[in-house]
Amino acid sequence: MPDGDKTNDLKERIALFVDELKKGSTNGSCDIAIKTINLLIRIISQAKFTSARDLLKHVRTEGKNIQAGDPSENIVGNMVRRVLKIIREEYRMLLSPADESNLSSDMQSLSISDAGDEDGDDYSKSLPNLKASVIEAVTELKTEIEGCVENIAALAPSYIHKNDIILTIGRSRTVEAFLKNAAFKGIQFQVLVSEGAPFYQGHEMAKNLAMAKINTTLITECQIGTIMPRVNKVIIGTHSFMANGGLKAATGANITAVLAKEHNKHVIVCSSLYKLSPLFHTTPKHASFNKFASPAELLDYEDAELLSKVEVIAPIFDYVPPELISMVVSNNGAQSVSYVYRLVKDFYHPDDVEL
Amino acid sequence: MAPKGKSRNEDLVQEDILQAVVIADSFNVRFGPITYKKPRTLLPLVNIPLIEYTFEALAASGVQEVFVFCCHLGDQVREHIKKSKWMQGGSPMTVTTLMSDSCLSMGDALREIDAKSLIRNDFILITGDLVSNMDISQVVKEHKARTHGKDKSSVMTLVYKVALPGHRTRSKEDDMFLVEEGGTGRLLYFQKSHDSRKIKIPMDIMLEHDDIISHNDLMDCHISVCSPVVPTLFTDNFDYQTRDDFVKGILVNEEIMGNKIHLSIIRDKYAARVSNMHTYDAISKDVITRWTYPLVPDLFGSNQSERIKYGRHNVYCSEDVTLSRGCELCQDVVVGSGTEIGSGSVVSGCVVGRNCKIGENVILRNSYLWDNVTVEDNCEIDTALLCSGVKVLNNVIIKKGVILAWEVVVGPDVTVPQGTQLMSEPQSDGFDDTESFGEDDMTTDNKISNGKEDSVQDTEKYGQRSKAYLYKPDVDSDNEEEGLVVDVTWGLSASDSEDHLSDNSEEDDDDSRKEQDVESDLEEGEPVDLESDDEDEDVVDSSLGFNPKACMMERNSAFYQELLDTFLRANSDKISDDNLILEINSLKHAYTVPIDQVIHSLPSTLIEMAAQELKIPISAEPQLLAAAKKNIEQYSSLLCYYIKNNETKLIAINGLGDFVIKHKDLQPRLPQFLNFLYDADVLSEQALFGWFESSNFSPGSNEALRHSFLKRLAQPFIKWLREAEEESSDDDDEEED
Repeated sequence: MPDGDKTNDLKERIALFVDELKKGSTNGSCDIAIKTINLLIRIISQAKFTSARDLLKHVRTEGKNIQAGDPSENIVGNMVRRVLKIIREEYRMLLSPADESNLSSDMQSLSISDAGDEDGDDYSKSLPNLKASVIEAVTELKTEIEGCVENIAALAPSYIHKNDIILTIGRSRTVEAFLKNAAFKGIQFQVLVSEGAPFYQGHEMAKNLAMAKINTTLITECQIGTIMPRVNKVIIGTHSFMANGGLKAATGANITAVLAKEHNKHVIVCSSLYKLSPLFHTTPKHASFNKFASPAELLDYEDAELLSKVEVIAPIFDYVPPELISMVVSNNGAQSVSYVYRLVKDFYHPDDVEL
Repeated sequence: MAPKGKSRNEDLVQEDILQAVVIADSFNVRFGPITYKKPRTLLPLVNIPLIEYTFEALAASGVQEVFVFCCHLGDQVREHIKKSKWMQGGSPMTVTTLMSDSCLSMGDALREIDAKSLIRNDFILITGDLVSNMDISQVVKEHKARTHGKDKSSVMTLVYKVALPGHRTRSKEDDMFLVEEGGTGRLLYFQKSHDSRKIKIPMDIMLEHDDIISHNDLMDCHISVCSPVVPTLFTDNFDYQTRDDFVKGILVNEEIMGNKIHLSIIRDKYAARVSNMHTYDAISKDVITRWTYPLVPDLFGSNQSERIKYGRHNVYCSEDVTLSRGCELCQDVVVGSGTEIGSGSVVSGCVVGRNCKIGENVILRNSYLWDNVTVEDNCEIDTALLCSGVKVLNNVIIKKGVILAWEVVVGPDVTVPQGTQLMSEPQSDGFDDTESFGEDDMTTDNKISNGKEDSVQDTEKYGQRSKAYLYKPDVDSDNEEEGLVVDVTWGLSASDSEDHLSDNSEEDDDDSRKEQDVESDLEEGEPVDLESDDEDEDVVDSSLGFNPKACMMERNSAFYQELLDTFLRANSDKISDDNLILEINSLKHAYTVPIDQVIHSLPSTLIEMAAQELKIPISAEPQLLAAAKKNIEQYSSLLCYYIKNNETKLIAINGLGDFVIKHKDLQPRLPQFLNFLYDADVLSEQALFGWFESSNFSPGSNEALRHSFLKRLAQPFIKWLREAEEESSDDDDEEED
């Protein structure tokens, strides 16, 4: 009986989270990542499996269900893939403990060939300790994610200098922490926040920054072009990273990056590495790259005449190609965009890219 | 998290739990042939049952307890809810279904809820066909703040959305004009504006309030936040049938009861009710164009078994859709899972359900196909609704405004004319009252043979292998709020619809016979003594050119005599109008005559009464006219009490017409009588013109002949009235400005 209760409870939790994703009532990407991991921990701890292969399969199907709540929310998929990778690693570790494990796994991921097939391993051996060690490793991952923003913020003084004029768009919690930390360290700089129409998250960002005693100016999107020559660098957050280093960021990010390139300004992206997705923005089966909101933000519903004649598109995300980005500041330190593919190799197993 | 949340709610139950009452019945037949098999709340809107949208809106607003009130086909609603996710563990709210077969209106439902005393707190009252993404709890908060603050007497807050006149989602039935008190949002005056071009604002509203805002730019969302006293008020006032009755009642009795109603106007969020085919179409489009975000197909419609992908130009496709090479999904298209679309087919502005099969070279425009629909090759469908299981065979052209109900089969090689509504089985009892059939000269046998004839004709008209019977809407004269709503058939503009009526009648006399039935149904009284009249049935009065008996309203002569006596007595005893109304009402009940017949009889009673007072036979004597005029003037307020809206005005005019047909001497006097009624403000220009121009008779039928006969008689008066109107129209315009 208690077992049945538990599975029901888990189902409810998953349904609730999926609902939240659908309605978009989640609170920031970190929150989504943590919630997904919590669910995955529960799924693993309740799963009955004899071999790692069963576990992989189980986590994959459940993960697919959660991802279906909002196919454009890459973070859910990323977390599922990270956990799958952890299961694989733990399996390998338990199978051949301590023998040159570090080196070999590095070597494997460097080589292009498929790591799984290399030693013909099909994860079918039964390992009694697998569950415990997987859960332990996933919990570690959770701790890592929780500390991401702080780690990034700590890097701020190396990138923000005295009297810098920094442009940012919309609101990103990571960028906010980053700037605040710089100010906290006593660096004097000025921030221009573009308001991020039509959702105007920039308003909140500007307010928060001003409260932290940072010299903040709120500007409209159309001023970005004129203000760009006076800006020293552009610091933006992102929703997620694609495998080629391109960004899936709030609308307006692309045009800002293009303008920055035009004026030869650096574009620094602050992003935790859990946002890194092994997918490309054109991956055919990747259901939807973008998300589209209600046109209510852009057009008045009451206008009867106009309404039937126009098609209003309200995309939430922009794709920013990697060549427009100068640098990525992540919780592992600063990286060049061209290095992102390497991180993808590190974090994800090639077999897991397709869930 | 869910279980924790739940137990917390249980602790709070006594304090503050947000309740909602969902009326899962529309109490009307706007969806004609569709709703006889499935209640309106379960009809799919963009492939999801309407009630799911309603529940989602409630859940998103943090409602914890929902009462669903079902009447028509309530079992299906209950089954649906039982299987839905709302009854499962993770559901954020508890859903209770209440069944009642006896309910005929929203008022009855609320009275029943009051009897069960289910409501403990302020609650949300909505219909089961609402699509909304707004947070209703905000309105509840506003309402609470008001009732706990300075306006304790507020009983209801109505939610309106800004939508300018002519907006596609504004339902014509719901067009209304409001006056709001500036600053407080209190509703001062409410008028449904569909039946009058002029708007009257009572003077005292202007005098008493410094700041008023008048609104013609609102659309009713049918969301109301009610104080717990509302069901009790419905119980106390048993004549409140609809929410509009309630609102009017509260406003009228404001001084006595002290209750107030407030408005809440939303701009950026979405809320609308599917109240007829027009709004079904408009709201479907709104869902597809994402105004209802996050209630959009790719998010709301996706679940474990079905994933919907969103593509450019609002094209939504389920993952397992089979699209052949060369087929084109243009714009605003939703395709459900398992559907196949053949090559060369072009689909635009359509919702296609699950497991449909669309053949090759099919053109689908602005149409709604529900589940399991088959459309074979080379068909063309424009602005139509095809319910589940419909089959359209090869080379069929379906014109605008067509509705094919469940499992209809049409074709091959036919054209379905505009505005046709087809069902898969003959329209029969249990769904609408067959009394209307017996109306003409048909005995039961005739009726059956007529039914057969129908099916034979249908095969010719709707194709060799068709399974289709014409559906004719039953004009429900006892129907609530609206009088004669000029409800243009869906998908057609006003001019189109006139065309369609005339072509229709030219094309088929079967159709016209049914229309005739509809007409007589409208006037239908108690079909008394049909048999005794039988011998006269075929007599065509040569002077009139038609058979007068066949088309006149059956009247209960005992009632008529008693009515006449009542008037005579009232006149001699000087009984006040109010008491007279009471007496007439009790007569109506005593003789069980419908209200229509009372109205039908009233004008002629007054004329006959004049004759009796003068003790002369009914003739065209001038003194009779004078006396009739005097009577009509004297009882004008009483007449106005009964003859309120366009529909009753039409009945009154027809009553007068029947009277003069019976009394040949009076025939040339019809214009005078109409003028008397017009002068007494009983009839309006609009009603008279409406009657004069009403054209939904089939040519050659008794009704049409009678109507043209009466028209001829009334011609001079109408002409005079037209001229008068044209003269005064300039002044009117200035006034309206």
